[in-house]
Amino acid sequence: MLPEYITKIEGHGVLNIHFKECRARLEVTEGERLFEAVLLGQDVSRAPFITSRICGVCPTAHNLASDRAIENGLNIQVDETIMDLRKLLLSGQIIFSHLLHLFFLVLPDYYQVPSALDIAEKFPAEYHLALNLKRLSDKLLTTIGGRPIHPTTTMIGGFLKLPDKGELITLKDDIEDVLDEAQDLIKIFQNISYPQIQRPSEYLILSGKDYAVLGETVLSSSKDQFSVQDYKSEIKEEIKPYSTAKFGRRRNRTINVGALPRMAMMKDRLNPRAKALAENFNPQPSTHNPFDNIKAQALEIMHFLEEGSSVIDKLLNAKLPQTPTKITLPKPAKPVWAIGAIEAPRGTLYHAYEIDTHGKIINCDIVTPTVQNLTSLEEDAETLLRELQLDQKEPKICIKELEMLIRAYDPCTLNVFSEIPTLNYTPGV
Amino acid sequence: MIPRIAIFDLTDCEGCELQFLSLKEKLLDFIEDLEIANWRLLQPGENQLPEIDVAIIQGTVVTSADQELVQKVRHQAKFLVAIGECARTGWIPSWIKKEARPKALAYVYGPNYQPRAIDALPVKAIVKVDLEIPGCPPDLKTLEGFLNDIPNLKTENSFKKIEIGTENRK
Repeated sequence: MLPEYITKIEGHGVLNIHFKECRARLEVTEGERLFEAVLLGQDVSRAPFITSRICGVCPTAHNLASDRAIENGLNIQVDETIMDLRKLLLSGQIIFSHLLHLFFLVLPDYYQVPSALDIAEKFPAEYHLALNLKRLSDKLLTTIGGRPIHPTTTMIGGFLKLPDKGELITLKDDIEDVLDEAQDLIKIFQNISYPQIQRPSEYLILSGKDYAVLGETVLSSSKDQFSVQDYKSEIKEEIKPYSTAKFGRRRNRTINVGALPRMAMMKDRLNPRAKALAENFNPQPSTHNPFDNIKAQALEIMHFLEEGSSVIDKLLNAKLPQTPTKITLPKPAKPVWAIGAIEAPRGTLYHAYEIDTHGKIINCDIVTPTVQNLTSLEEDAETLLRELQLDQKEPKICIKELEMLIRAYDPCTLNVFSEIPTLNYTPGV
Repeated sequence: MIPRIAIFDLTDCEGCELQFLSLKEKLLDFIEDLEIANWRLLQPGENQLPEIDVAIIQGTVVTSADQELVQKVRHQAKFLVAIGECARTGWIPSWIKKEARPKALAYVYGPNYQPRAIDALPVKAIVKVDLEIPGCPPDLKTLEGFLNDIPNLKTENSFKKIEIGTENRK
């Protein structure tokens, strides 16, 4: 027998359901890789290389969050052009991750086929569409970041290598070429009928002057905000009596981060084509439906394609910086916490390192989007069990629906390390 | 008979198997001539592992489940490939030595945590590996060259060894 992992999610998890009590238990069975411990004693400049390897789907997000944390902690100024290049790179990262999730992991559920490879056979036009968008996201990540998985060009304070303007013009043309196909892909996900469940939650996103991927303030749907530097006191990890694991919450409320919160709170700042496509899509935290995350991710593909194109326009009018960026990391006079965040595809990602006077990491904390979403995922699974009266259906159908919910969340169990080894409910059957 | 392959991920970032997807249309061409018996990331799981012509394993052997899986796969596979630095060397998780793991586990998960991990080892520490493909992640040309070689098993009854860094990087 092979272990019965939930398939088509990133990482390894096992789902246990207690039908009579409407309880579900998602056990994350990923082995401990101990990244936070690996970082201890390392020179802080090595952190972006190491943390990229946390996740092969969002390596660039971890890498840039790591850069940002160190820059904040050591007071390293980063000029606007560098930030624009990072914005472009993150746009590519978000498209890359959303596309993988939507097309390769989610769509087979709704097309009633076992895998995306079957979509290739039965829906060749759709598959072709997805591959063209994948080609674009791979190219964007390669042009700016060196390669799609584990970037090679990024560094603290700047870049090791940058494309010339000719390559940026070609990239922009390539983006413009796929916009119509992206629209077709989005419509596929808009036309699917999803389970309708509702429950109030709190949405958190990084705030900036636009539909932000970079920023230093976190905006809440509860009309307040906090500094990224205060993440530890704002996002609480709760201990449950039946588990040594902790669960992310804010002031006793469940929180959600990611495409759905970004879309709900920043819809008026979407780029034009994405905004037009989002006309009839008005998700609200008070009636949070996790399946809306699928539509939000689809719309974000268009938004971030347009974003890429407009950032390139801006870069073409700017003087691109010399590479490699010349920088010497200062050694702090006394130990400091270096804290930074970015919007990863799945939501706000915090990296924090305590750096000693020799520039070594002496403490480390990484709070991933999946960890923040876990409490919500748990409550949504119960809501789904109750509202759809799954307990009266065939177990096989229930498991399928719950798996669809888990996939809608796009969890990355690879990222569920920091003190959150399992998502526990009362023991299932 | 078309070759039956299977892809397994142990404890890792999944970047190596995502590289296969970056082959795009070429991956589809390869898949037409192959049967995929197991690929957890993309398709529903099978309870039983059939006989496999070529097993592709990525990731570090960290848990006892990883170790058992590697042993089962070796038993069922005619040819076993360790792909990427984690499978090949143990990579980043192996930077923490076995004797240092209890302290590291307590740091990350707290004092009362029951670990799943036994150690962090390359695949070859558990079973015989027939081919190693390096890289974090391996480059696309190397993967393409490797996939190209799979059907040769039937005709030549053996694999052409992939010369990393020579003909596949043309």
